[in-house]
Amino acid sequence: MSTELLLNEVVVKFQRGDVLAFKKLFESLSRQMLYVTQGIVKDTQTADEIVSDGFLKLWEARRQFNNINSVRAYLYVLIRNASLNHARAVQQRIKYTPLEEHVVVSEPEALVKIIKAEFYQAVYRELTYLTRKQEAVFRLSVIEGRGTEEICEALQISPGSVFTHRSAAIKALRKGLREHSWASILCFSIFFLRFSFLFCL
Amino acid sequence: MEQLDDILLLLRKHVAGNLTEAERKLLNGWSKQHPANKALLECISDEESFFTGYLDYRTMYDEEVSGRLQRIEDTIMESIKPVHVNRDSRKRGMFRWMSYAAAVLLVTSASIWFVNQGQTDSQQIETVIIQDIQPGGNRATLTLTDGRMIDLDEGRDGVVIGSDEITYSDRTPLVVVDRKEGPMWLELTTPKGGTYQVTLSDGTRVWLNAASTLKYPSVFEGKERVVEITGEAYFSVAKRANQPFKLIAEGQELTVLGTEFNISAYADEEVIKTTLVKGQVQVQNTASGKVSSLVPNQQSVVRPTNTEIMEVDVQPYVAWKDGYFCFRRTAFKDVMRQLARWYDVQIVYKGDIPQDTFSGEMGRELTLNAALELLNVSAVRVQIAMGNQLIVH
Repeated sequence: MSTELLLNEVVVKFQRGDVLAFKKLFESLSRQMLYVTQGIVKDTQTADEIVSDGFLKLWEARRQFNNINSVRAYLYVLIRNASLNHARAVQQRIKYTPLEEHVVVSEPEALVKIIKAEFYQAVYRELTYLTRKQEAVFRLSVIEGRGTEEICEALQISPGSVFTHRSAAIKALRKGLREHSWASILCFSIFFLRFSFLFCL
Repeated sequence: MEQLDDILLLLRKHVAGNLTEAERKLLNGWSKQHPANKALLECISDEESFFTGYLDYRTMYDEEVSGRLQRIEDTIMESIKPVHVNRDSRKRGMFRWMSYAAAVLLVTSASIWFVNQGQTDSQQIETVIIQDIQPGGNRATLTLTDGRMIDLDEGRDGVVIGSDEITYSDRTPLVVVDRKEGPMWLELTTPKGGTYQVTLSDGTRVWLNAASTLKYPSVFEGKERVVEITGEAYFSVAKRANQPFKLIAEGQELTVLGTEFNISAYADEEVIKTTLVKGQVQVQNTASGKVSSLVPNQQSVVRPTNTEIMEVDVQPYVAWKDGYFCFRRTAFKDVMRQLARWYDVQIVYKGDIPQDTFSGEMGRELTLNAALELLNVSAVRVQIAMGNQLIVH
């Protein structure tokens, strides 16, 4: 949660037009946004444009925001709408091309993407709290999928330690997810609702 | 969407492993609503697929993606720069600044040219100037019996009518009332884009929405407490069993004992809507004379020809008083009307009125552009134009 508090201070500066604060917001939020957009529009160039456009609009609307949750919610709504619009347009064009892979065009799918982005960003943050050994083992075994033997060799530790570090890392992650990030998602969701617009046709 | 909070709470409990049986059923129900929900639930339930999903997310930290994000960041920073050029920038910077200025000038003169063209032939070219409009705020005028008009302070949000003085809600004095003169009639008027709150002498609180007028006496004497309204207001009426509160609007009379309700009686709308939150009220249709009673969560719609009573979700009708717009399958036309009153714009339809409806909530502190953006209508369909017009294509 302390990151959230720090970011709230950044938002206050951003509101006053501080470019460095805006940069900081971009660096903390752009990955989640790109993840959601790319999950919907597939085409990387379009995804980049949508994210870029979203942040430019955020800058223009900066005076409205005084906390990180409302900034995040605003961005999510913008890029979700833009991505869905684009994906729907593409889908119309390629209706008769059955080879095209599945395109996300529904609101629930987009919402699930957003929940995942928040979730995984929280995991990413939690990983930085692990001890070095835990992190190294976690990275090699879970992320890179290496076998125990390889890890023992790479880190010069026993198979028993690999097991211990791995389970300690996963345990810490789960604990972290329970205690930190979900709380932020929950309070985020209230703002999200406040800003959220469904286009019912 | 209303259940998003509940769902998140359930997901959280699911991760922590302390769902009750009833909650598990709810979560399962949600997961059945859409394949994507089901997939998400499966993904967070199983360690393997959870971390596989994470690997996918982690590509956002890959070198390739970081490079792309860096380029996006550079482009953004470059395009917002002109606003922040300081006087002490070096020559090269000055040059760039001047070329921006030149570009702006070019655009401005082009649009002036279009405006002139438009005047000679109004049908010819749509002149759309990109600009933004600030939201409304605490704005109102208080008119006294003697004709004095007082513009109320925008920094404050309410006035209190006392027995010998009128003050702001923070007790700052405003007008001294001479009691010997007897009760005087006061008028509180909000412009488009203004709201204000007033506490009447009996303790009744009234929130006045934009473009509305409330007429009331400084002291309530006689058998009834009578006030008049045009436009929209939210009332929280103080209880006085022996002195009923009567609210008169063009077309209806409302009698209450102690209650909370919202009334919308704008002259440019065909109907008067009274939405009851608490207590009980009686609505009398002035034209037909018909009297109807409302209980909480009911709304009366009064037309010259008839009175209709229906069950409603009160939230959309009272949200404005808490500072946000709330729409529930609200028609495009009604959404635009609300925006028009709050942003002080005129809606111009260049074709048929779209049939879309909207659901959701949105803060009233947003600028018009930001609001249109959230409504997802700004792209080509709705544009802000000269003279505070909102053009709908």
